[in-house]
Amino acid sequence: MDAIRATFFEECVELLEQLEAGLLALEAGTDDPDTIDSVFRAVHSIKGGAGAFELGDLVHFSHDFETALDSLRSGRIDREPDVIATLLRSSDRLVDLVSAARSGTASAEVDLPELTALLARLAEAAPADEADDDFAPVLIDLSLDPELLSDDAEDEAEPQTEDQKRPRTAWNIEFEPLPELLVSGNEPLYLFRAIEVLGQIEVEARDTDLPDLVDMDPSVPRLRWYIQLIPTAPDLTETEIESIFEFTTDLSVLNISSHELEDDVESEEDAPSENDPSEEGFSETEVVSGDSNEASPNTGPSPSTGPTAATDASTPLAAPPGTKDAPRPAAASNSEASSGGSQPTMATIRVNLSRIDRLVNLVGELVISQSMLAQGMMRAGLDQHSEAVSTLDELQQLTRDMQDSVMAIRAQPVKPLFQRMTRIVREAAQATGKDVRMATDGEGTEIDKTVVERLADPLTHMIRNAIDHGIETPADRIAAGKPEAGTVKLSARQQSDRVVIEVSDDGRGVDRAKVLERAVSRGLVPEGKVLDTSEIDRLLFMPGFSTNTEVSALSGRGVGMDVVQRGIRDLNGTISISSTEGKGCTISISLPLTLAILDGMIVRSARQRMVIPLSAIVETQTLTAARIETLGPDQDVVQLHDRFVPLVDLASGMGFSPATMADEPDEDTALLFVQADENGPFALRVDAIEAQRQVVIKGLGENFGHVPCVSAATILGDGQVALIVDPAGIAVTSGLQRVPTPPVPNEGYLQ
Amino acid sequence: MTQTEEKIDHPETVAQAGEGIELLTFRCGGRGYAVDIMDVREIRSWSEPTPLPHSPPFMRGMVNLRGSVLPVMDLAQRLGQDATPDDPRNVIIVIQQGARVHGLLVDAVSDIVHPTSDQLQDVPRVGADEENSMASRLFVIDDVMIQVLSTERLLPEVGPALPEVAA
Repeated sequence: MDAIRATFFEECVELLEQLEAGLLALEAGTDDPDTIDSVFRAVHSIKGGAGAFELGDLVHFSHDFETALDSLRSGRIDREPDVIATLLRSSDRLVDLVSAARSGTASAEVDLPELTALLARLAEAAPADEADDDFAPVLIDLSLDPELLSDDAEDEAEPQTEDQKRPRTAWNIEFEPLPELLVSGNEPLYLFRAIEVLGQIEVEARDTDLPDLVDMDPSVPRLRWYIQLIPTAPDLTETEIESIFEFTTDLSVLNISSHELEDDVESEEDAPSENDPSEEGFSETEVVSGDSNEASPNTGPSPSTGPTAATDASTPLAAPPGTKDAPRPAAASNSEASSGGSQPTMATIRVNLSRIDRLVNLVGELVISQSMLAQGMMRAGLDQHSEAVSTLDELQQLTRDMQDSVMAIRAQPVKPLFQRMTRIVREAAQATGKDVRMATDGEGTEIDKTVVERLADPLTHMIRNAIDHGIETPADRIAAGKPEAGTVKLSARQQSDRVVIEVSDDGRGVDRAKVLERAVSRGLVPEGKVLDTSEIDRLLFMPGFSTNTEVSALSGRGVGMDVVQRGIRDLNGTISISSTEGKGCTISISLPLTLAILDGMIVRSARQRMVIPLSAIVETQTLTAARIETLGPDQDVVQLHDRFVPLVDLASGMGFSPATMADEPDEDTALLFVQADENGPFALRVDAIEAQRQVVIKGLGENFGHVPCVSAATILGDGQVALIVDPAGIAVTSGLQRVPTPPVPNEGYLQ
Repeated sequence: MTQTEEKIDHPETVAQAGEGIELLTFRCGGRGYAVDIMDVREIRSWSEPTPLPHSPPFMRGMVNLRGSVLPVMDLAQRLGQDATPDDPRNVIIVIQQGARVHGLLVDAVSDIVHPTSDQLQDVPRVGADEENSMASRLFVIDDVMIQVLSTERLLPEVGPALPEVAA
């Protein structure tokens, strides 16, 4: 059961992503019915699974959510921005509920009641065909349903028409819901849709047990259903059918029987139903609650095989047969299916990361072997136009493509992560009543997938903190002469061998007096101790520290910046804070690139080939064209546009001993102007620029620790190892920069 | 023969004395050395290492070991002798110590020997000489003294900044 539960939560993660993506697309103005459907299905699947695992909170909330979504789907409410905003908030809440359910902790009921009310308001617009609190028989316009149809319907259509000619087994399924069925979030309609996948179905509802309207309890299902299934696949087993009802095992009485089908598809047990199952009648019976007094033989619970039924919410529903004697072939409804458009599928598999790493290494070797082969063929003096050479070119292209694809598996841009954060900002702004804009920068920066995933929580906390504590209220902002709307900026950039992610706000900054006072009162700092500003700022990361006196609903969730810091440390990252009173606060996270690709320029200096990150290079000049002035011994400057910048020889700047240096300047000698950190640019003299290339970063940490001026190594096309230069390190070791940026900010005080 | 076990002071290389131990012997700077063959992953032919700045002199640099970066140290220099001159006949012994994989640049690989435990001697203390501490055992084969090196002590420690010499 635990394994099934784990699978359910893994699926939830994917479904929630699908949900978010869909809602964001809707927010962006997509008018595609498939998008709404995918959103709807995601919520429904979560609800179904949650019901099976008796996650009450999740079931209730997702049910409300689903109901509201249904109103949207059916067009009964418009896609107003505030509607979407409510849905987005609901989606956020659903994420929380799922993770709470996963970890088994109590979910934080932050704005749950409020959201539920909002959702209910949205749902009110709908004739609540999904809602269990509605008892009035309602007609469903079936023309809505084809939106749910997907390609699956087409798949089944062909064999069905063929198979119809030969006799086979028909299944009679008797489905009697127990009173708890609806409460647990199950919906018979979806079960029937799931059965529909297996073949052609005919559903009859028996409303003989319906009480009078006045006596009716809307939460108790009173209808029983008889389903006759003519399966598409002749070898359908009872277990397969039972698996559809898996989630309703203890919530319904199920009786499945089969009989050999003759030329007629008449039901074995004649339905006592009085009403003619016309289309409207059919859909009516689906939503009417009825009372069943006819005792059905209990077949007992069906075996659990997996949470398949819940995820089957995406199962298409073909229009139900018009009459029971002449069932309409499913193919007829297929035309409607295609008109609804096909559902974009997000097929994913879960792969162990170590396998991908192995693949990455193998492809790296392949690329190197390939280029060594190319060099060997060149040496062998093969004709440039020979078949072998051109085939080798193709091979080269293929290996490069392959390398790119493999890299793409692991490295992911931070953009989706940042996108998720926009919602955090919106949510936090709404909760605090502040007006906050979000700006992002460097969304294309790529980090390892695992890093991206594990950054979401720390970033969320940081953003919430920034909005809750940093950004002032609109009134305060105006009084301080700032624009009414605060700005939270998320930026990402690669800085030598690390990715730096910053969350900055233009709020009031850290109130250092208050921080120190709090730290002293909590006994975190001995009284009277003098701390400098950065030490005070770092107090924020101490466990149990919170400057807000009352626990605010937003950031006061029992976790603080110390949790953020721990999360970042787990990723081998560091965190630092810089704040200016009244101007705002910036929290920087510096993360290593466990696996990344780098666009670099391969240069030669002192007969060594090295790679300089392209991102650091501002400009290149040839030595002959450059204007170089000497300030003193070993102090050269070179003109870059209208100013002079320091000039450093790459090899000596890297710290190679002069003995290994040679090569008089020649016409290949070039100057690379690099910009490291916030300090001004400087020039690096190299003996030659060889190529511009994407290189695979091979970390040195394991064997070498931190090497000054070197961020990592890579392996070039000829199999030689080349160093990847850290321009910031050169600036430090060459004394161009007064304050060195330490690779690890001093956090000793905190420990 | 197992009674000599009590005498073992440095069990990290010669894990269990006596039968079963196999040593790879090699020459380096005119002397004979050996490492436990269980620590040896492979033996590679010479390729020009890429030097790494700000590293101890005995660190010759890095070579490409099938897609990963292999640090290579000049064993002679590590043991306090002169640097091994570049020679295509040199070989790199790839040793594994825990999770770390390291290359040892040596003159030539000699043999695989199975010394009996009574052939293995403890290393006598000779002053405060650094290089002695690299050897865990000694033995004589064909009238040549072979030092059995402790791979653990050979490898420089990895810290936030590379230490000059870590013993």
